Amino acid sequence: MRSYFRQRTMQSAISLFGLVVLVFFLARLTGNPTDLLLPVDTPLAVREEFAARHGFDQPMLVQFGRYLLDLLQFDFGESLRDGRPALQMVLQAFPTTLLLSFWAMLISLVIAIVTGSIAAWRPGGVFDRIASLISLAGASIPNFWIAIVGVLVFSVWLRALPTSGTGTPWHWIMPVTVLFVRPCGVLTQVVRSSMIDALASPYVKTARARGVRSRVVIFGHALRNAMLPVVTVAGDQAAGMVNGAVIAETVFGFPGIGKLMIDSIMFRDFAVIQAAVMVTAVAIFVLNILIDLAYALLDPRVRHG
Amino acid sequence: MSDMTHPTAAAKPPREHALAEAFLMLWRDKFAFLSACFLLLVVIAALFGPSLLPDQALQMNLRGRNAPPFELERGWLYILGADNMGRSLLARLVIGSRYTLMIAGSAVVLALVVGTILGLIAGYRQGRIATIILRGADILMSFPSLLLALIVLFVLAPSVGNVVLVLALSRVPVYLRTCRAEVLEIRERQFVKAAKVLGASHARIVFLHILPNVVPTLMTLATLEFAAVMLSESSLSFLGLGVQAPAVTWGLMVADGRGYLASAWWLSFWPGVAISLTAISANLMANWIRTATDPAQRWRLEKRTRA
Amino acid sequence: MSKFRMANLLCGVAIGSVVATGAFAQDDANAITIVTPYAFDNIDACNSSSEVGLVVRENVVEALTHLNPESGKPEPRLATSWEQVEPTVWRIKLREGVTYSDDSAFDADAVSRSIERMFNPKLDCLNRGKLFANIRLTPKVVDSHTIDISTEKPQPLMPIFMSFLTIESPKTDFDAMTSTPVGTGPFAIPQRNAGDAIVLVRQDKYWGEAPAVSKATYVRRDESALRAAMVEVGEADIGLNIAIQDATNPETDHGYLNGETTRLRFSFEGPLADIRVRKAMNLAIDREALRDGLFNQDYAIATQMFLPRINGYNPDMKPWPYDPEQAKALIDEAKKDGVDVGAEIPLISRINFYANGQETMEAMIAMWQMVGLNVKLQPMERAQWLKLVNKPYAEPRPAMLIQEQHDNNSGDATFTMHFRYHSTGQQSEFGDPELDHLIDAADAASGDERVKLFQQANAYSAENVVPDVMMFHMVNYMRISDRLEFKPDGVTSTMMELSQIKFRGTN
Repeated sequence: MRSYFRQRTMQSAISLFGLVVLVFFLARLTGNPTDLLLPVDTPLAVREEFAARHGFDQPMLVQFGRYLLDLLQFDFGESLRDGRPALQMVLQAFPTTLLLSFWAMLISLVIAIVTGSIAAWRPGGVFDRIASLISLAGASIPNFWIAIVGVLVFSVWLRALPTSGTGTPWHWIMPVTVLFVRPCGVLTQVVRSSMIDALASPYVKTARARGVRSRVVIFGHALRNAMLPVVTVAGDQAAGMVNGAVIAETVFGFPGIGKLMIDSIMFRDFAVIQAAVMVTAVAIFVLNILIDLAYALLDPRVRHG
Repeated sequence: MSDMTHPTAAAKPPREHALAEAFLMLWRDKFAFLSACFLLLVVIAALFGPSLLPDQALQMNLRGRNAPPFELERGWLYILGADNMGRSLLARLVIGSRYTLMIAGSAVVLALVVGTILGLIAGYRQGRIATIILRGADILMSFPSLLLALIVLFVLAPSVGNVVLVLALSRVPVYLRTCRAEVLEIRERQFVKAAKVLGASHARIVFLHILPNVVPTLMTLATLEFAAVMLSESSLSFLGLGVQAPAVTWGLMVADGRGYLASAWWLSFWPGVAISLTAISANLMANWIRTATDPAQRWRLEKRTRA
Repeated sequence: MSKFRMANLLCGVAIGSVVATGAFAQDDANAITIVTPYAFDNIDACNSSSEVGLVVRENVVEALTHLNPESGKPEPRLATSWEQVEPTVWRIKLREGVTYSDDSAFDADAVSRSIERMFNPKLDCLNRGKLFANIRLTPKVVDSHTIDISTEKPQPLMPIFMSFLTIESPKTDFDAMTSTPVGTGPFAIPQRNAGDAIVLVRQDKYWGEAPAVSKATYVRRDESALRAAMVEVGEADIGLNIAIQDATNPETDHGYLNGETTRLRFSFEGPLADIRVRKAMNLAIDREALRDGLFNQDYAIATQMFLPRINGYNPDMKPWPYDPEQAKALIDEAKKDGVDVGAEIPLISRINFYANGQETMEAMIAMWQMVGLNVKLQPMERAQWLKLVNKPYAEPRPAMLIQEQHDNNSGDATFTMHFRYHSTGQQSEFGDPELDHLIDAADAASGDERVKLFQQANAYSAENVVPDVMMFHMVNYMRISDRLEFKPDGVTSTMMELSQIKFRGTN
């Protein structure tokens, strides 16, 4: 197990480096921050002065070399927009997104496993029909739609929830809802379909034939077998949360990493983009290792090379 | 993961009855039947809509901006209301179906095919190739899709093909990882081991024994992804990185109408409904196909047929 | 297993953060919250000519002069009087008895240091880039409250420039931007880190009348609907940049000309090199239909690139009439002379530029289609668009229309005219010796002569050059809670003086 971790960490470090190189060069293909940060009417001389001050006039490889050297000293560079250390900005924003994603995933998983399993017990039954319709609708509603309609209904009309911002637990209700609806719909469907398979598998049939009457026991066996694809899809949904959180964070004014990322991309604030990508990448790599561990736990036959 | 220990034992009805039987089974399942009808309608709209309503969807009428739905005085084309340029929403929905289906369909298929192939390799072959593929997927997963969209927009141009490319690229890891996870499990099963012992070639094992068992899960995923891709396309449009006017997609309509949710909800409501209904129908159909083609499940539909 | 531990940890963090932040209720009846779409990344005083000015200008850091929102004329603020003692030197008397909120004294040294700091090449000062790129100000202290500011060339606009010279405390770091600017204004910013919420608190040492507002918190929300909702439910008192479609309540929603003017610029290439085609494109646009259909009556049809309160505005110019017949005739005439009027002309628009921008472009394209012109919308992201806007242009430059928006909040035409209409201007597409001559003469003149020359330049350009399709003077909407007494004016887009806000029913 230890050698597995060591190997996996090594591989992840290499991927991380690849990612850094990719983001560094590809991001710079999308234009120069000089143009974006300065007003449209800025004279050329001022633009050139600005570019020189921040090193954008240097050849790309020189810029990259400098970036790597800084990185070795754990210096991620500074934000062009407000001069703060990029890593500090990212680490400040990260917990918000992590919390949002955590609650959204937790609620999604609980609802999906319960609903999906019950629906799988009798495919085509009334419960299955209703659960399918609701979960599919959930999986296909645009999340900014939920966000804005949510504000209009719950804040403006009913005056039950605050419109936006952070502070009390009430503030978290709408953002978490916006985030969990889609993954929940998708996961419910995945749980349902793999549970149908699992319940029909010879393993469970044998258990039934052997006279295991208890639904709980049968469910338990089937669920364990059905979890493999669920874990995979849940992992992907969780990894996609940074992208999903952009909308929730933008609309509700949550200072998370999704919002930070989109702002930085729009302004070509490269240092912050790079730091944000790296921090999320590390989180995703950790998540992937957890998923692999979950595979091993769920299915002892799966071995890792 | 229906365990097809005896894959050849599945009973196959004679070919001439198959169609009639399928239709009968579809008819018995009212939800699936309605879904099929709706999908058919959407496909017809996508195929013939643009030639039937070439001008109505582009005809501007600034005096009739945001005309509310369910008023017939402007004619039946305005039954769903008008958009912020006074254009018929119904006509735009019909016209928009073509690009919507084209983009979502090609992105899903592209991602599915590439992801499945890579997933089969990564799951079956383990070792160095698998490691490279999986870490590549990690990189792709942690690469912000928005940045990806921006890069494609800049280096290439914002065209329908490039939107498909962005959407497909960012979804490949999902199929790849799901496929690999399934393969890891299936390759340890008795019938695969038996095939190996009997000296079957790798290609034979992968395509004859493993792939058929992976397909059901991937199909479920793909139909679910169909909705996700339509919505991603909408987000791209909203950020200005997606399809550009005068081309129309439902996602673009939802994004454009978003600013009017408080004052003219119908602008983004109807295209949103179109996306949801299409996604739901596609999924219900997929569920039905799975049930109908799975020998272990088929009885659920047949029982009613014979009852 | 580790999953559960992580879950516990996360729950702990969640509860912790909730307790720590607490509810920020408005305990003080005179505290207000302002919700804006801006990030206000860097609120250093030397960025005050951008939207940062909304927060700091005149509230925290005061300028030497203050422009009257109606007349555009400079009025005393930190400077009490000024005179041109030599062609290149202005002598400025400073207000006495003023202290900064950090207790430093306001004097000529502070002004001198503030000007030098703005020109410090180590700082990315927007004010320097925007206003003083080509004009070096050299301060010289005469006595404790008198200062001379000299320039290389005579600078008749100095009193207007002085309204942008926001003077921060001499204790401000000279070589680094600050996220906590300190000034002489009625409000001070408590110590904060970049990225923290911006809060302005009334300070007692202010030299002028104490404002009614005791505290102002600036909050960012990107969605117009949300900003409107926040004011409606009472979470905020003022919502900036409310979209037209959300500004539905005439009681609370106030429109004001935001200083921006919109146009489409011609590149003088291909069919657009022919003035008849450019005229025809103007005649083909029904501006009233556009305004009434996509905007509303608050928007003004523009004849030139700046508002009437700017020096050099020509009140006699008339908007283009809507005359598709004459447009067709002009196009036919050009066609006979071999101009390729059937060529596809791209319209370079900018994505998410201004409210209803995309719709306007589509409607205009439809209008051109009716006179037989083939214009195609080509939306671009800001960075791409910028490459086409500024010189040096890439060769060969295609025939195209470029969507533009320009704000002249300074008070004088030169900021606009030279850039766009002079042959050496950075965004100019043509060279017309007569027009160059007029602009040069106006730049050197002052007083009524200057105004007259700019007016002539404007009229000449519109009649004989036709460099653009002028569109509208744009409007912003602000939603103001009914507990406040406040009206936005023409300069509110770059400056919002909290001291002008009163509370209803408390006086």
